[in-house]
Amino acid sequence: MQAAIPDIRPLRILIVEDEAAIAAHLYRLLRSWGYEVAGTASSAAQAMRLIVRQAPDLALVNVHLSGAATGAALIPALRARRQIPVILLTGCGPDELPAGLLGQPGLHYLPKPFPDGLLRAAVAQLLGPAPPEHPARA
Amino acid sequence: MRTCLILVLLAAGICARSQPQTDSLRQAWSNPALPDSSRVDALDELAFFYQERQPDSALYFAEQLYAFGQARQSPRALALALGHQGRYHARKGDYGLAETLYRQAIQIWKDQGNPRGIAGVLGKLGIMHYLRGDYEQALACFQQNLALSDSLGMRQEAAGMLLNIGSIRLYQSKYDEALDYFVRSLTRFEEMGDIARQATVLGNIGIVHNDRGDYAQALAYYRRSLALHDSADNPLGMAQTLGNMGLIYNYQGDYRQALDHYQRSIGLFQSMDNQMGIAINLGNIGMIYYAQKDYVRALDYHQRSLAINEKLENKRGIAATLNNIGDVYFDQKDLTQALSYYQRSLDIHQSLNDQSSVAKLQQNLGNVYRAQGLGEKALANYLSSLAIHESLKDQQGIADVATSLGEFYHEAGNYARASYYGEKALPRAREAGAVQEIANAARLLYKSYKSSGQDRNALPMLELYHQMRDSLNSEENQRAAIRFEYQQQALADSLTNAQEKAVAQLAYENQLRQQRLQLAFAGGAGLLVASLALVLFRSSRRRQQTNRLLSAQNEQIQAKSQQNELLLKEIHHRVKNSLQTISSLLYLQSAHIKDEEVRQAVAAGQHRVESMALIHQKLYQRDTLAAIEMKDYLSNLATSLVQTFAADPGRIRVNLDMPELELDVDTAVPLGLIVNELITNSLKYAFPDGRQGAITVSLRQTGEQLELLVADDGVGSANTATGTAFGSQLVQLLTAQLGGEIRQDTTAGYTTRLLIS
Repeated sequence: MQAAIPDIRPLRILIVEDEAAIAAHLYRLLRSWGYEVAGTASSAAQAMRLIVRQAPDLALVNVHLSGAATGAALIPALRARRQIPVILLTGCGPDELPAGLLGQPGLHYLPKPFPDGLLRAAVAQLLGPAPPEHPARA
Repeated sequence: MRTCLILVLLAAGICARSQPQTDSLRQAWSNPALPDSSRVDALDELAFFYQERQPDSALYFAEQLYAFGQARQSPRALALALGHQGRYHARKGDYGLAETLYRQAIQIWKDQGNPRGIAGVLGKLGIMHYLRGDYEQALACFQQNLALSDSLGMRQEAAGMLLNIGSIRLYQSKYDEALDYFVRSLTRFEEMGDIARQATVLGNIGIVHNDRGDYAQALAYYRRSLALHDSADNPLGMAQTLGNMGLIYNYQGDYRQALDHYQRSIGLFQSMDNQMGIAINLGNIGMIYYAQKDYVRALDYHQRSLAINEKLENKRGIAATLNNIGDVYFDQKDLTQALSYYQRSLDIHQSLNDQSSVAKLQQNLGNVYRAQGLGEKALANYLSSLAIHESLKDQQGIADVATSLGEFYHEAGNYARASYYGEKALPRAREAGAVQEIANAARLLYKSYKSSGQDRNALPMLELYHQMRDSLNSEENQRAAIRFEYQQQALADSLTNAQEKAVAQLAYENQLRQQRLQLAFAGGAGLLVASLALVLFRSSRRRQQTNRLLSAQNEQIQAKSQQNELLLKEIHHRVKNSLQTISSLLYLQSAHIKDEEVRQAVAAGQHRVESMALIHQKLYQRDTLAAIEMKDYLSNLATSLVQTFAADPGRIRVNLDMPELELDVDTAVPLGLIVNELITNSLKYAFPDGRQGAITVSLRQTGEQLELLVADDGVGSANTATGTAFGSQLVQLLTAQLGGEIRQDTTAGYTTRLLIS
């Protein structure tokens, strides 16, 4: 039943979210499920630096960041580097997103508001389950 | 839902004639030295002169004429007298008597072999049929007159009949035909150089455009008509045209211009002692104040109008004004007064056999009875009103009263009947292009569908209602209302002055009448020929105006609708983001709580918020904002809960055994919360010690009944801990809210079955 663990090192996830409470929530959730957090960015520029330095295995990206660049602008950078899979977090309906964004492989669309369990299922689908030795809850 | 009757003025013949010298006429009649024929002419002329201004004086002269005819064995005098007497009684609404008198007159003219005389009475008879609302009979009379006049070379009379036929066609909304007759009569009046009648025809062409809702064209024709009336020195025509122009400004919401024109019209009517015209304008001003909800002023003007109409014994005017006063009381919730005024108005309309007005009054009475809670009486009046509208094929009337019936049934809780009448009203209101009626029918249907659980049908009705209401409350109307406020006081003051003048005029008129009766035996001579023309001073039908209103405001509505859509999306984003933040805050809070029981309570709260938040996530992804597809929703909810509670999610399977099923939000939210509790319970307690298993969720609709099933194949009755007290209390509460019934079975696993009917 259990999927093979692809790597011994903990899987590292980047959080790109400018809403502080939601970012903190995501951070604690991921840790509780046994994942590492590669960093939390509140702007596209900050996220770009973390992508280069931390080489995350997955990114959770809020499409609508406040600031000059939107979360959507990060997608090509993420996909260009090692095909980093992305979960798009957004309050928008699918028809309101930039054209061509959806439907790309390695891209998961998770509309807000989402229950924690659906995020867990999405992360597991893209990365496989977290290494079992981590504690169950933060 | 309010029905207003607007006064209609029909003036026969006056416009074509110059002001006769009544003193010399009286002298002519009283002079025994003159030949009988001259004395008959003088009496005829006097009766004609007073028929509008002083009907009693007109009757007096008609009776003198009849007595003279009997004394001198003059059939001509008798026939003319009968004609005037008929005219008097027709004006009072005694149509049976009037028709008898006219028939006698026609018989005398026939015996005399006088086709001119016959033609003259036929014209009057036609006008009587028109007054009675019998347009076909009126047309027949005018056509017969036209044939006679043409064969006798009576060009002026024939042209007048073309004008009258056109006017009837106009009343029948046969606009192309009406225009055709008007143009033909206009050509003839132009050939004859009859400026006054040209002005009348141009005014009537203006009315055609008014009725078609083409206000710019209507105003252009009214202005031409006004100028010709002015150059023909015809104050009556000017007064009527100014009144018609006032009506257009009124429709356009330009109340300042409307009041200004009404006021000028009143001034002219006063200069001619035309009390009828004054009464109509006072009523129209009352309507403006009524529209502005200034009930005190509205009542004041309607009462003044009523007083004059009563003095003139103008039954139509009295009936219409009584209805208007009833409306004012109804809007102020003074139902007793409203009932009394409506009833009086209805009695008069019934005596006039004016079916269309009878139907409207019955609807108004139905509204009062409904407001009083007298259901049976309300229903009887509405149904009778509907039957009349249907026999008259009045689409707007049917829509209006069907909506009232629907509202009635909705209040009684009979939503099926309410929907039935709403569905009857809406297409007819659309056909009539009546914005207010469309809005009313849409609102009714929205309420009825909503109350009977047809949410998907309800929403488009709500949207339609808002669209129509917005188009009625256009910004221009609001601006006009503000302008109106500023102008109100000044105009009210000047109109009070005008009214004082009118009272003085009446007193002066009475004095003159006394003198005239004293002078009636003085001598003199005069000759004038009676001819007939219809002058229509009337409001147009809302149908044509609203057609134009609809198309003009369509673009505005679309722009507004796009703007609303953007705003709505923005609100949705905020709602969704806020729900996500609430969930995050609850999670963060629970992570900081040391006491395990308290921590779990807060975490359970977070999951309840999540189950509702998921509804919002689904809701805004769809075009309809009212319905949720439950299979997708419950699948997401169950997956999320398994992921959250199972240390190893692969251990527990979720079977979703149901078809796709759409439910309204009011049902979906509590159902979601119930399923959340039940699945959470199973996940926590049914599969201890790494036990594998499945949770089955099913939701099915059979007829009106919904059946929810949540079952696990876990330890069942062996599981003694059945969740928190609050969790099960919540399930009971929400089941009661849905009007459902809950059954639990713990023989094999744990099964909960919920029936909602």
